[in-house]
Amino acid sequence: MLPLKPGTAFTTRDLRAAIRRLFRTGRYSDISVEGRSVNGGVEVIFHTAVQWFVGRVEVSGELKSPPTRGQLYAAADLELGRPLTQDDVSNAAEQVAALLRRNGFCSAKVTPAIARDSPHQQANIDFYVEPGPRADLRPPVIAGDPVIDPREVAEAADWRGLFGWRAATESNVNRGLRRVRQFYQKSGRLLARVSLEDLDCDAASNRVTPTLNVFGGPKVGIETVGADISQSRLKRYVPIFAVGAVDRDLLAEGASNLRDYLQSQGYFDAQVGYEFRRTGPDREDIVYKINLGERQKLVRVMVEGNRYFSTETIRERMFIEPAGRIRLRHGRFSSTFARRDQEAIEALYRANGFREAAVSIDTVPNYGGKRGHLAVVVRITEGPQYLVSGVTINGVRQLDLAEITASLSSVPGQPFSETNVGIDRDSIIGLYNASGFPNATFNWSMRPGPDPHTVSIEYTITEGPRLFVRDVLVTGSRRTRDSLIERNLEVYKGDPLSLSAMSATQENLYNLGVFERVSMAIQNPEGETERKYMLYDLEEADRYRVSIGGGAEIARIGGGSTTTLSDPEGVAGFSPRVTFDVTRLNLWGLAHRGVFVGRASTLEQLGSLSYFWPRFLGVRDREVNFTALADRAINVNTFTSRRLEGFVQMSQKLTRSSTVLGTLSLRRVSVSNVKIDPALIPLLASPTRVGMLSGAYIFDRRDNPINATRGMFNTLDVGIAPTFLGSQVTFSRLFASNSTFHPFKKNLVFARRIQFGWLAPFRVEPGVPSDQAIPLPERFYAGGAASHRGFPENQAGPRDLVTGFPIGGNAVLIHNTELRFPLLKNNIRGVLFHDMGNVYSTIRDISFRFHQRNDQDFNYMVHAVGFGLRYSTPVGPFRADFAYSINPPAFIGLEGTTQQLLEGTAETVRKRISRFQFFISIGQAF
Amino acid sequence: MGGAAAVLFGVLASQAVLLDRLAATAGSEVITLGQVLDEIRVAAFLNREAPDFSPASKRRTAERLVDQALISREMRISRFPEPAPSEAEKMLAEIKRERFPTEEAFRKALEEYGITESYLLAHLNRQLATLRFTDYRFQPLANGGQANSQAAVIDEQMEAWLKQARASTQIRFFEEAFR
Repeated sequence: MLPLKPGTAFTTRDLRAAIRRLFRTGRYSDISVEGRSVNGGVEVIFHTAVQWFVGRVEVSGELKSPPTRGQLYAAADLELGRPLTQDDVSNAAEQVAALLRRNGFCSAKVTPAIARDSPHQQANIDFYVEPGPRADLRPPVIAGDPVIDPREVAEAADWRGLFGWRAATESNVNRGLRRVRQFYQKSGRLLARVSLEDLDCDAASNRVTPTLNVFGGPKVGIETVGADISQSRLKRYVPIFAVGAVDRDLLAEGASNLRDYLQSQGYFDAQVGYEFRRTGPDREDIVYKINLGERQKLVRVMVEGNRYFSTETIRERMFIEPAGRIRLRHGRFSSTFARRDQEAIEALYRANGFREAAVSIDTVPNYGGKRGHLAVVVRITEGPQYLVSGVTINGVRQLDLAEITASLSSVPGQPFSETNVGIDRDSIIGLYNASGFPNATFNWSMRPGPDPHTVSIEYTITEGPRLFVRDVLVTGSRRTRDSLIERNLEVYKGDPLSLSAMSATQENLYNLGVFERVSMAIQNPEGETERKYMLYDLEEADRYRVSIGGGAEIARIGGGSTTTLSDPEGVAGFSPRVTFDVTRLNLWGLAHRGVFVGRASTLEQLGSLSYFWPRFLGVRDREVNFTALADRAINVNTFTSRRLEGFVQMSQKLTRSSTVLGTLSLRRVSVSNVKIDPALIPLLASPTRVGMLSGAYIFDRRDNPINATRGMFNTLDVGIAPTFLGSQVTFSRLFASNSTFHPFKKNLVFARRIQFGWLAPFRVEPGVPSDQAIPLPERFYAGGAASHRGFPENQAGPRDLVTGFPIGGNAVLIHNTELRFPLLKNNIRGVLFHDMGNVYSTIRDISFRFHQRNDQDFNYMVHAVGFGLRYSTPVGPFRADFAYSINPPAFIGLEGTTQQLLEGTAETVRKRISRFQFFISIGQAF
Repeated sequence: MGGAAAVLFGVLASQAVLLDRLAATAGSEVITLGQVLDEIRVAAFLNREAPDFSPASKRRTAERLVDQALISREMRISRFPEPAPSEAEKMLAEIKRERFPTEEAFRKALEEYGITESYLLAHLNRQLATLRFTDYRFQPLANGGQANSQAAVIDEQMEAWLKQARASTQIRFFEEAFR
């Protein structure tokens, strides 16, 4: 390693080179060299001081939030793996103390303690915090030129709340500053500048007095000349109000926003400028000067000269859009949009080898002889398509050239594209980084090929030194077992230093769900050494996680009381819901978790306890869970069901989009308050035990599961309930669904779903019809917001012939079709839908028949059409659906109570499911 | 400086003596005490002064070498061409002609200052490269004025650049070297 070798001539040049070489390893903080005469030669002695590197950084002591532990950690600003000096530690302690003082801890003390891990030259630093009591805020000192009475300004900060002076936290101080700025804004002084000059943190009195530097400035008005634009619109488009400051950039942005707004209104040639006018000693006006130009309507966009790409492909990339009936009533056009579209189309051609492609966008005023109508013509001159004649790769010494060549996107005979060169660069550098060459570089050049319109590409790789993992050091794990962490490592001692393997390890550790922070670094990253320590510093998350939620459902979900028989078809109802979940993370230090889920609504009460074992038996993406649950539900208004169930389920993710599940379950279901013919109750409503073995396959390639716009979602669930698993009823069960989502045109989505279910009883007791062999709670029910919207919730299919209440069926077939389209702005969309299908008595009864034969016939296909609105929210679209059922079923029901039913005095009446249904909820129907 | 090492051997005894040590670092650039001492000798030779090996002089020289290291790094990054060796040789010939009547007198002076001709040439080469880089880098900003004011602007720009380069580089001086 060193240029000085025993037995060779000693020169100062070699000596200096040796010192330089040693220093550049990064492992020494000081180097001196001594020599002494030995046998006519010189013995050279190197004295070195160890360089320490930042290891685990912790903040301990009596922490009072704010600031949070994470904020304190960030304030220390000590980067894992970097060289550490004593100054760094004292600076970090000072930064932590300063953050505490900014949060009102005037007498905060921060004591750093360094634990040195000598073999690895790593220093683990603990900042012990003694915050002391938190101070309160006091009225601010107002400095500068506030223009307004300083007492009023101080009051505007509102640092005295209902219960006395507020705590001197950073957020309270910032809120006060914001309130002062708003105070000036409301006073029309938009040029006001308010800044925090000082925080006097007095430990003796435990009070904090902020000093604000305020420049009030003149009153500023804002108006428009040349077009009427309301003050509310000005506030929306001119950002000085939102930002609370006035500068040229914000005013220019306001002008641009106003121009965009006017162009969206059909003033495609609108021009907007601004100027300041001093209109008094204490007043300035900002005047937006608008030249509207003629109002036009973009009626047509024509594309000419394109041969290689279809007009549709080109239009998809364009921002210019002709007028629509509901949206963009005047179309979308401006010179800026035209330039942008021109560049986008040219880029599309260049990416496909058309290096000389030229695009021009011209307008045709008064198109079709109609004044104010505008057409746009996109003229494309494609030019020749350049092809790659050859690719040469230079500089590959230590990796397999054939492997690199095989991974290239630029291939002889294919169109030349700089995009492909970029892809090649990323793939080659990625391969080098993964193989221990973090400093590999890529350069490329091209020259004309042997044939016309061909290019020859040359890639030059500079590999740089290959680095290896000296060891993997993990710090910060207290409760998590080392064996679990080791199983999740993707980098090992002696491996090439692969950046992708490092990131994969970090991802694995995060995916365990037990770490709040996984910091990753290379120790001594800039040191010129071949072998490097890989560092992972972990921060374990809190062991308990509690979440409480609420929601509500509004639809025809009510079924009257448990005693009345009058509303078998359901009535409009409101069902509030609360949820309470508690998760215990990292059980036994193995990243297992226990979860309690409690859910209560007027329709359902559920409690479940689960134990999750992720990465079961060390297999990636495999999880087993054991669950016990108790459930009481009246979501089918025919009965109240009670279920006690225990199951064990194993899931295995096969690919990014496909998962298989296997489940073994045992449940006891019973029903009460049953509103069916009393003669059928012993058969259909007796308590039943079901033991079932089932398997499921899920294939999910949707772009967004909450609000899909493209892709596919399939599920297949097959189960069997035989007696040897403890079942008192024996049947098999199949349920399959297939959904697809197809985007077309701009912003339109065609979505469809088909669901099919089949229950097949076997070993049925003699004399029991197969459609009555399966007890009520195990049957298929359908209808409602996420099913068939022609029915209220769970109201589809066969009904009791005496009471008219739904009794479910052994087969289900439902098809939904939706056209989803933009309605208003970007966040309100509309949906036109058609739902068809039903629940059927048995699979043989499935029918596409449109008409109901009689009041006892429910085995036909019910159709519903409707309209829905979707309002985008962060948790998914808020949904309102209004459905019209074309052929809803009629049936015989009763007017009266269950008591009257038993007495035989209830009145028989003919009823029909309402043609109109509505549903209000969150999330798409499918 | 191989010659210096030979001189050093003469005084080496069985007791260990300091041969060299870190004097300053700027990022990964290293300046040793030996370089600082050589620089003091060469500067003294060129300025016709007695070498000043006081701690303050060593520290000043180390700071100057740090600045030179930052400039050299920038020259490497921007792939600024090195001056041809003949240019430094021309400068040396000029020095010889102006200050020394004979080649012997020149050699004697070098020996007195403890430097070699090749080190002196390397120093002149570095000086030339630095001057040329400074002109190239900052001249356009100083266009349009008188020569004097242009030089002042270049110096000002240079100083501002160095300040920024120093701030963005971890620089360490090892006080042990300046005792």
